[in-house]
Formats: sequence, structure tokens, C-alpha cells
Amino acid sequence: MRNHKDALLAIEGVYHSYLPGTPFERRSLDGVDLSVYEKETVGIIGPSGSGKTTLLFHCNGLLRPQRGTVRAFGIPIGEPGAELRDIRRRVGCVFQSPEDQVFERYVGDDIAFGPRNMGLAVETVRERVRGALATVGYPFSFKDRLTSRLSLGEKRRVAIAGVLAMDPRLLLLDEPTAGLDPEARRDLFEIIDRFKRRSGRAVLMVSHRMEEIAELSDRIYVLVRGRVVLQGTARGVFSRPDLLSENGLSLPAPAQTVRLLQERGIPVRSGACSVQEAADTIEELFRDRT
Amino acid sequence: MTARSEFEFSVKLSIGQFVPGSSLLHMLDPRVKIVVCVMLIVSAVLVGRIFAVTLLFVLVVSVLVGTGVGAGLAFRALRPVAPFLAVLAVIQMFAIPQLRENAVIVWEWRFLHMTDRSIVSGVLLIGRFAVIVMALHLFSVTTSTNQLIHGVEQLVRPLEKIGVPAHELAMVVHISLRFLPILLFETEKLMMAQASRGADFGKGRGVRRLRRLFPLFVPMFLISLRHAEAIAESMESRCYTGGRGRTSRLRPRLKRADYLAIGAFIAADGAILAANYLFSEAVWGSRALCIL
Repeated sequence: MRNHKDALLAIEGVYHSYLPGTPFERRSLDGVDLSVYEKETVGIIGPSGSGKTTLLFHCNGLLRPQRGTVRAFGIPIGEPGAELRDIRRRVGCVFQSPEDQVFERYVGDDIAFGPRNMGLAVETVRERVRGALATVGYPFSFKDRLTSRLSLGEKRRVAIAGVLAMDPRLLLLDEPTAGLDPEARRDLFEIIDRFKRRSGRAVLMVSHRMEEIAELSDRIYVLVRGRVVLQGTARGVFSRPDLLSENGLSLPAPAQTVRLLQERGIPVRSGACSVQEAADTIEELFRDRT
Repeated sequence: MTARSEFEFSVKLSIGQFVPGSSLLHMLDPRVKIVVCVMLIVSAVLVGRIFAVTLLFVLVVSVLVGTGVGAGLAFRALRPVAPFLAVLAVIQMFAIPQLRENAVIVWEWRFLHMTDRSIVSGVLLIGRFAVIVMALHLFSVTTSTNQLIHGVEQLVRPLEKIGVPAHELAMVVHISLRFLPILLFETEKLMMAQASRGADFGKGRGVRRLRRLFPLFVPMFLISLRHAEAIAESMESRCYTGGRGRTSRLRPRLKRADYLAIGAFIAADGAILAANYLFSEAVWGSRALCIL
């Protein structure tokens, strides 16, 4: 077990309700513990309305914990004097449908919004834009494109570049692949991969697509009605299909395929989460026969 | 010790929002409530005596309590406006020279004069505002948007003969009301996204603070247009052509309770107004009592 002190992000016993003190009060987080360490990709899955996005908003101080503590890079976010801008610089947050938030006329200006807010020198801002564009797979000349002429996929990449330009060490992603076609989705995985290759970077992502969470995450938290009902490695979490289906979640398609094969009496080894792993375990079966 | 988030506007939105319930006020026909609400506001403006305003206040509170809505909900509406009321009352007490004529000075300090008449007008102001706020609250808390629209449409319908498009008017009100929380929510989301990228909405003042809002305008404009387009499309796809020949699933009809309620209210309200005008100086004789 890693030392809790080393966590980039440590959330302990966080409660949150919307519209507290009104007849509309609705509890959205009910005592959540979560931590993210260096170099990790952590996934959060859960049915709609389970508090995933609310939890994500607690990670860079967009919401303050009503009870419990949130520490990002050792800074307690709940304290009134917390330097939130400092935290937001290190914890980048890509919202759901981030393309809605692109507002500048030119791609380059939009990406530079974050670095400029940080008060960086013009040359440094330029470098940041160049670096961010490279990470999302575009040449530097892309900065002169008009944002109004971009496709949805392009716009989303630009929006992500806008967050990456702040050079965060922890990247929060909320449903990053929603509405993207398979190719754009693969591109996005590559972006996440390129981001993580730089030293010490970590990713916390929310999704309800089991496949991508299974494929990308080192550890997974299952959030249901504001509570963590299950956590662990992808393999561990997806070995509890009963608990998942009880809570309106399903297995990733590869794991489901393996499970169906087992139900039909074919002795496939369970535990496959990605397509690759599923193919491997099925191949194993044939190799044993021959 | 925890700090509050700077973005939760929706918390403030809850004031005056419809609260589903089953009180008598919830059951009443929206037209009755609109009339009651308007009458309360008009009377609050008309009355000029402290006792009358107090009676109006008691009337509002008793309507809320008597119909099972509860006064707690109503007083909550007063809380956010209380500071403004206090400031207004102080200005009223000291800054209106006319109130110094023909009045007894109660308290004086350099250029500040407080007279019996200025105190009365200050108290009246607070009373009037309290009644108005609570009347609006009484209406908005117990009436869903749907009911409100039906009520407005039916009240305006008689004017259709002189060319007022009742249904279209109600539809415009409806859509704008429906849009408010959506736009608020979208703004909140945008501000959060920009704060994530280092924008700071909390600090700074004046022009600097305004300039920070600028990046919100463009996306908000686009988002509003997109919502408007979606509404237009969905109206068209449901063959919406306006109000002509349209029937309604909900056809509110005035029931006995509605007639009783409005009758009782008009009686009470009328009595207060009558008392306000009747008990003049001549009747009371003494000036001290007349001030009330």
C-alpha cells in the first residue's frame, strides 16, 4: 500500500448536496474516499446521476467539500484561504463537451487563454501553445485556424489543448469521448497517452463507457448514488458482474463476451477487460487444445 | 471550517421557485392566485397607515399559514431583501425634506433630522415591501410554471377580441421563464470551465471585473442560439401553429373553493383598505393615534 501522503489527490469522506437548506436538497456525494497517485490513470464509472461529475469538480476546487477533506498536491481545498488558482494550474479539468467552451476567434488565442491567465511571458505562452498543439496531434500552424470552422472532433481537441497548455500534472477528464466517432476516440486515447508519457503525470477520468475505462485505467472506482461501492484494478472490479448489474452497470464488451462463452460451457479464463486480453484468453484456449 | 464554492448560483435561484405541495393554495386556480397577488400589491401601495400595512402583512402571513404552506418558507423570502429594505428605510427617514414640514422632530443631530412623519414613512416603506415580496412569494412558491401560463392565458383571453394575442403572449412568458434556469446553469458551467483555466471571477473590481465576464458572452450567445433553435425545431416538429383552435388537456375551472377563497380575500383586503381611509384624523381626533 502506498503512503497516503504521496497522493497527488486525496479525497476523504466528502459529502455534497445540491441546494442545501431548500426543499430541493439532493445529496450527490455521500462520504467518498478517493486518491490518485503519480503516473496513474484512475477511472470513475457509475450510472447517470451517481455524482461522478460532482466528484470531479471537487478535485480542483470548483466545488468545495461541505464535509470531509480534499487535498490536491498537499493543499487542502476546503480551507477558506486555499490558493485555488494554484491548484487549478496543476489540476487541469476538461469538462463534458468542452467544445462548447471555445470562445476565441482563433485556435491559438483560445489555447493561450490559460497560460495568459497565469501571467506567463509572450514567448513562454507561444511555447505552451506549440507544445499543447503537438500533444493533441496538430502542427503549430493550426493556431491560425478559425475556431468557428472546426469540426466537433477538432474543436474538442483544441479545447483539450487549452487545458494542456497550462501544463497540469493531474488531468481531469469528464466523459471525454462522448459523441466522438471511433477514430476520434482512438485519437483521444493517444492524446491521453502522450500526456502521461511526460514524467509524473496522472489522469482521473469519468466515463460510463466501460470499455474505455477498462482499457485505460490502472485503478477504477465505481460510484453509485454518491458512494464508492467498489474499487480496485480493472480486473478486480470487472470480476464482480453481479454487483455491477445490481447498480445498473454492465461489463465491458470483451469481459461480457468471455462471460457468455463461460456460460455456454467453454472453459475460458475470466478476467479479460480489453479486446486484446479477450483475444489472448480465447487464443489460449485453442493453444491448450492443440 | 470549510469555504463555499464561488459558482453555485443555482442556490440563489431557489428563492421564489415553485415548491410542489398539496396545500390549499396549491389547489387554488392560478387565476385566483394572480388576482390575489395583484390585489395585495396594489393595496400595499395604496395604504398609507402603519396599522393598515401591518394588517396586510398579517393577512399574507395568515393566508400562508392557514393554507398549510407555512410561514417559514415565506419569511425565507424576506431574508435576502432585508438589507436593501433597511438601507431604503434609512434613506427614507433622513433624506426626504418634505417629511420635515409640519412634523414633530423626534431626534436631531447636525444635519440629520428624524421626525414623526419620517419614521412613519420609513416603517411604511418596510411594511409595503415586505407585503409585496411575500405576496409574490406566496404566488410563485405555490404555482407551477404550467399553471402560471394557463392562468395568464385565461386572464388575457377576454382581450383577444381587441386583438391581444393571449396564447402567444403566454407562450412568450413561458419560454422566457423556462430559459432562465437553463441559461443560469450554462453560465455557471462556463464560468467553472474558465476558472479551471485560470480565470479569476472572485477578485478585482470595476472594469477589470467586467472584462473577465467578456469571455462568457460569446459562448453564452452561441449556447442561447442553439437552445432557441432546438426549441423552434421541436415546436415545428410538433406542428405548432399558435393558439388558434388549440384545446388544452388541463382545463382549469373555477371551483367553489376558488370562489370562497377569492370572496374571503376580497372581503379582508377591502376591509383593510376601507379602514385605512376611514380612520382619518377626524375620526381619531388625536394626532398621535392618527400616525398609526
